[in-house]
Amino acid sequence: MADDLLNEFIHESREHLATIEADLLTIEEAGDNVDEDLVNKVFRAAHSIKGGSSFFGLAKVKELSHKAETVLDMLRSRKMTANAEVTNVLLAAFDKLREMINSPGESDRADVTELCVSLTGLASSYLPVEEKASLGQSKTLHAKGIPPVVVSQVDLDRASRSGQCVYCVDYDLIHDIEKKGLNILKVFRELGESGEILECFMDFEAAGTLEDPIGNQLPLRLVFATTLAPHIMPELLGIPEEKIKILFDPVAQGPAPTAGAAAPSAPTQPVPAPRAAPEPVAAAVVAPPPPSPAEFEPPVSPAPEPRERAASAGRAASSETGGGGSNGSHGPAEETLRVNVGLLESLMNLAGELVLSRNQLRSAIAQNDVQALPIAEQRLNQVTSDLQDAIMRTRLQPIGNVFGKFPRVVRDMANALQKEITLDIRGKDVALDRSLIEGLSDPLTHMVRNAVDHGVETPQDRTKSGKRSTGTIRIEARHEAGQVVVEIADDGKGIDPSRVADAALRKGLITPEKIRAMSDKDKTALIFLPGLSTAKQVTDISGRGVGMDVVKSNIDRLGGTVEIKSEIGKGSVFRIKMPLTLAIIPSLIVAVGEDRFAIPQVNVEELLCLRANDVDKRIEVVGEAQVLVLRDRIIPLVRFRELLRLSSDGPRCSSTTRAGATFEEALRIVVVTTGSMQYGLAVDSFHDTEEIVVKPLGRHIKGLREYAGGTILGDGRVALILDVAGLATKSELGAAVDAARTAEQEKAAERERLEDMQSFLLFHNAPDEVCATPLETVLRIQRVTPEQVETKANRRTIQYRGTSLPLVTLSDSASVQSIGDSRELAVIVSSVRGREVGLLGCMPVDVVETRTSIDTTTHRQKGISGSLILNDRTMLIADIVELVETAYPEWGVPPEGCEVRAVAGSVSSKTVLLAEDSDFFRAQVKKYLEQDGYRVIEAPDGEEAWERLEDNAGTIDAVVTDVEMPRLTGLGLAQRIRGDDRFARLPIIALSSLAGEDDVARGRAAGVDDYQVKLDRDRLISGLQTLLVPTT
Amino acid sequence: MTANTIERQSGLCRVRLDGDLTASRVPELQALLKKELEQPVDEMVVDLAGTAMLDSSGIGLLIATFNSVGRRGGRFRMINAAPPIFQLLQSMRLVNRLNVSGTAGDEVSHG
Repeated sequence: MADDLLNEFIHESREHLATIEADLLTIEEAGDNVDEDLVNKVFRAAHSIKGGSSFFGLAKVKELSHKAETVLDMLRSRKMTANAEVTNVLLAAFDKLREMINSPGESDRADVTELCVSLTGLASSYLPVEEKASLGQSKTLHAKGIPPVVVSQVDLDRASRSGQCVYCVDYDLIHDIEKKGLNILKVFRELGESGEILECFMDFEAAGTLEDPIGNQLPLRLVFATTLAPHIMPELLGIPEEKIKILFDPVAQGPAPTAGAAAPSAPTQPVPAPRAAPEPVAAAVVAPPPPSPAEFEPPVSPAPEPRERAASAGRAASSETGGGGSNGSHGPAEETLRVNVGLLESLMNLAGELVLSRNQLRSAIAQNDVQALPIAEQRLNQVTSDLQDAIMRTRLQPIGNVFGKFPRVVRDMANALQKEITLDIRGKDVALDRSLIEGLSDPLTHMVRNAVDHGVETPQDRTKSGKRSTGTIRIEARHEAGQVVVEIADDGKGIDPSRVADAALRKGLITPEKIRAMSDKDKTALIFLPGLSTAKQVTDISGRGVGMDVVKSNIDRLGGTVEIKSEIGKGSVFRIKMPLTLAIIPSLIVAVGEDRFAIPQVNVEELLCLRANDVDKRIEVVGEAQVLVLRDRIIPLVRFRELLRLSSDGPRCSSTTRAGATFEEALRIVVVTTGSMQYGLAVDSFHDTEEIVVKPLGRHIKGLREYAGGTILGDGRVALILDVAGLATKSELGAAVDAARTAEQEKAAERERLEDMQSFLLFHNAPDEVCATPLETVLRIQRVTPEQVETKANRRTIQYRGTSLPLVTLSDSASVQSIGDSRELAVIVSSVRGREVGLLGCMPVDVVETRTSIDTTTHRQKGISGSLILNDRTMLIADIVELVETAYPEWGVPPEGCEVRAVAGSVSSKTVLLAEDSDFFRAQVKKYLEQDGYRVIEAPDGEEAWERLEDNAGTIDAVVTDVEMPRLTGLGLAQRIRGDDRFARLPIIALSSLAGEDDVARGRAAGVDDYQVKLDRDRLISGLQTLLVPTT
Repeated sequence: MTANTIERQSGLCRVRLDGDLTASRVPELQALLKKELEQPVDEMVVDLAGTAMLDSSGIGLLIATFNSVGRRGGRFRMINAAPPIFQLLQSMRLVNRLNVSGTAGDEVSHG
């Protein structure tokens, strides 16, 4: 009974406390314009906690809430203004209350003395802080180069809980403040805003007496607790680094050690006894040996690394709710969960439905009713998924529970760093499984802190770069495609990829070669590298990387992904994608050997099934790593079977050593993503997708990073759930990723080299239909008006230099629109079979140079040789020869006097070997040659051309070859031909889109007889004839 | 030149500083206080009612006075510290040591 009441009190108190932080911040912001309702609300919360704690005999809770109530009462009655100091003390008091209420059993052992003193001090506007060190226990802290310093245990505990570092700062008030023209009142006010002055020792001896000159020096030693990182301190305080020592670092020390825990170190680490008559400073400052034997060991290093600072920052945030590492997961209150009554009702209904379904099923089975079975199964299926959904909703909690602490985090840090920041929180109501909410807390806090610290600039810098002086940090959660997306965006200075890369390079985390191969996005993602931020030399960028590796690994562990978008000068967006729950996840089931594995659907990008004869083409070995060619990308490949070290017997495994030529079955690959990286995972077979219920791994295999858990499949078999990020680490994919990236770049460069630059003349057929024709086929362009076009005997012509120029249009042969009634016509004049002919189109005309690949199948028809896509428009490529053939079939007989005729008969039996890698050009040239009676043997590259030549030795009469080709270039082919006695005298014509003098000279040197520009049909034909005539 | 008021009542010396306690005025005030200490003093009270601003040298002067009074076996006290000054001295943990009061202070006397 009492327990129930206590639980009820705890729940209620937690609810009261949940909003207090935000309320206090609002009250502080309002300053003198007190919002009485809000103050009343906080007052009532304190009051009801006081009442309840009194009832349950929680003396310390009562004492503290009473003191807080007193201060709140003064705020309410305007006897006091909620300045930063008041708010800080109140926040600390409510933090403590929350902590005590979470563990009521231990609350009486909590030390609230310090807070009570502070609150009383506030209430009486008289804070006898000098006495603080003498209150309760004290601790002696050591740092290199300074005498030991005593601080109160309470202060230290609080600093530890808030993730604060404790610094010892040596000021000389004369030189460091007055002579620099600073106002000492302001300096101390600012110190109070950026942290807490725990102790302050003024050296009275050094000040001398009235007999001495005043204003020479006035040493002051401050013990200062703040969340600010060491590298910020010298700038903040305006004094040199060597005057600031770290006395306590929550990261280096771990959680604030208790006296008992630290005690054993005392005998082995004796505190240096203070010297009897040291220099003046020491005389006043040095603490007497503490009564308690408990000591801290000196901090591990005088200046903790930035990464550790962030870790402490994260810890600080999580401790705000009183928990250790997981946001208040301790304490009895966490063992219960409040569920909406409506949801409970629906659960009850579903339970009823389940009973009905069971009855239906049992009756169907008992009566062996084959027809009723599927209906029962369907119903059971429906009820089960509804039930699953409803139960999952009971576990869902609004992400606002995590977001709630950010206003304070941002406020505290912005104050300390003197930045102006507006925090915009959206999507507080988005619900996530509570385990995910807890896990997200730390990474999100890291990122928000980073955004304040390194993202948003100071007001001065912002104004200088033309921005509003107030920066904005946006934290937003939303649903997207069955997942939850959380974004942390700032409009600050953004992340400079090259600076991140430089930082990584300096620290030896990456080689210059790798950096050269990286895109900006890849470089930015380097901030997730462990160790990037651990350098001594702290730069903005290394600061930005603070602890990001920890963030990444935390999110990976939760089954989420994180990516960065950043623009220099504009800001950064960190986007986290999370599954809704970790309990039940849709997964793809795959098999390797006898074993099944589940891959969470969120990690699956696509499935590939490589046919045995494609395996060689699609899988390559780069360095020691296998990579998969996936369209235009190359990604690392992991053969799961090899990773599992499964026996390699059986046909399936005989080929696993290298791109499986003996592989009889197809290779099945799951392309998986970790968010920042993709790789292919080769498995034996794919099965269905299933919603799997995640079970934790047993103790003995818990250490295996490649598995995230286990599950029981529908057929009762056990499957392990793959952790794709862990698997990547396990397979040491880092090197493979680099190899794949390099290979990808080489491929891209190779593709670019091989894709000939081709010039096209663009014209309009119908006004909105842009068409193209290879520029090489164009003799000239003539602008005409519709009146100039004459139609006689169903043939269109224009007059040109006293003769009739025959005209064709695309619509004569192809199914395209007619050119319509445009007033501005263009005649594109070409030469076909020795005659000039004009292709009629509309203005405007344009010339483009492009490497775009040409599609020779989709739009192929009579008069259209293919299509290309330029500036997102599909353009048809006109084939003037075919258009002429359709319009003037009788031209098939070459006109009298044309050179072609003289040899027409004799060439019909000639065979030309045509080497060209572009399908389009090969088809065009082949057509030209065949129209002229040549037999054509095709080859897509030089190497294959050589094979064809050897296969057809003696029957090939001439070689026409492209210059740039994969495997063996045209010039390489020419050299090989010239070097072989069998073919040394074969005529060779090289075709290229480039035919400068240098190119021609190189061609000649390689043994080419004629070097021509591509697609000049007449020149090709006459060139061939010239070369072939002497041999006949 | 501003007028500082000095009241003497047997061993009690009450010095009311007129104006700010800053570096530029320190020499003048130092001379004044030093002169006062030439006579026996059981308790010296510095009244800051007219003082709105205090700087490092000013603090140095107050401490030097405290030291000088102490060496002569007297007590030192400050009264009527304006809130900003009081808060500064409080942050510096000097309120108790220098016996500072924000009020006229006779009732707030620290031993």
